Amino acid sequence: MTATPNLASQAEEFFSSTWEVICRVLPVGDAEPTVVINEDADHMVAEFQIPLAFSGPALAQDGNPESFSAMFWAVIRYDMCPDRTGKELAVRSSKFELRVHTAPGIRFEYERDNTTAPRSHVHYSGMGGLLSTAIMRNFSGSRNRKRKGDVQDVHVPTGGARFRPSLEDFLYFVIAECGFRAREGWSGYLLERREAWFDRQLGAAVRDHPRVARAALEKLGYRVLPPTGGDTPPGRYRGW
Amino acid sequence: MALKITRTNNAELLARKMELERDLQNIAYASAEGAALTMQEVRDLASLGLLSREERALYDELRRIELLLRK
Repeated sequence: MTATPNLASQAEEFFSSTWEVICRVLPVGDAEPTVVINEDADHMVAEFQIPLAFSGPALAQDGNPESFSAMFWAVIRYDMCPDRTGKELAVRSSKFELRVHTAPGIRFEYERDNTTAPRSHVHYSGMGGLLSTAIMRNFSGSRNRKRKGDVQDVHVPTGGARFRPSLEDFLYFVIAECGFRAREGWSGYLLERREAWFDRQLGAAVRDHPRVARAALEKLGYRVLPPTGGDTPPGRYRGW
Repeated sequence: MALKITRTNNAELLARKMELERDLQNIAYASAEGAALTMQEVRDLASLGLLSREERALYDELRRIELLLRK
């Protein structure tokens, strides 16, 4: 099989747009994204490893900090493939990680095909003392990795496929909640981008369950007619 | 900034995967243990943050390849 040209170009566009977002809100130093396309299949992967700088005044768009932390990194990875129609690009998995040296401090992950854990979830390496005893006790005698009491094996569910955190949410977390240095105008830019994300996900959510969408619009006074043959059946992914 | 895109195929990916697995199974921890590590041990070391930056870069490359080869 050869990579579908249309999908490869969609992936290039998506990865370029992702890189633009990152560069607009964070100083990236000499970070070089890795983008690989497997031409034998419709698989494309991009990874962005961004060094983070400790707090300081927001930087001009072309400015750089005096130094980076040398300890903290934002690692962003997308794994793309065709959607269910085979015509459009979809995210098969994504990882937004705040890395501490080489340890995964916190990871916002999405795995479209996950059936044994929530598709969208967070792994966090902290607060082990509070939860470890419970998971060791509750999973003892099973083959589940959680029996070891390592709290980063816990998947904290975050909204399923449709309502999962976006790249913009993660970048907001890195800058506003963790205090790493940003570029001027980051907040407004991310809010604007997040609106576009919400709109895309809303469209997908409507396709997941058109009858519910129609009912919601009718409550607002719209008249919506189902297609000939009746409502399109729900296509929402089952499970978590 | 323009992105540099690498185009590859299954054969190249599989060959590189084998190289990376061999290198990772023989990192510094392996000499301390006196035997090559299993890939599960390598994954556990990565998860615990016990790899060096160079080793972690190899591990990240391996993970990307695994995703590109996934059915």
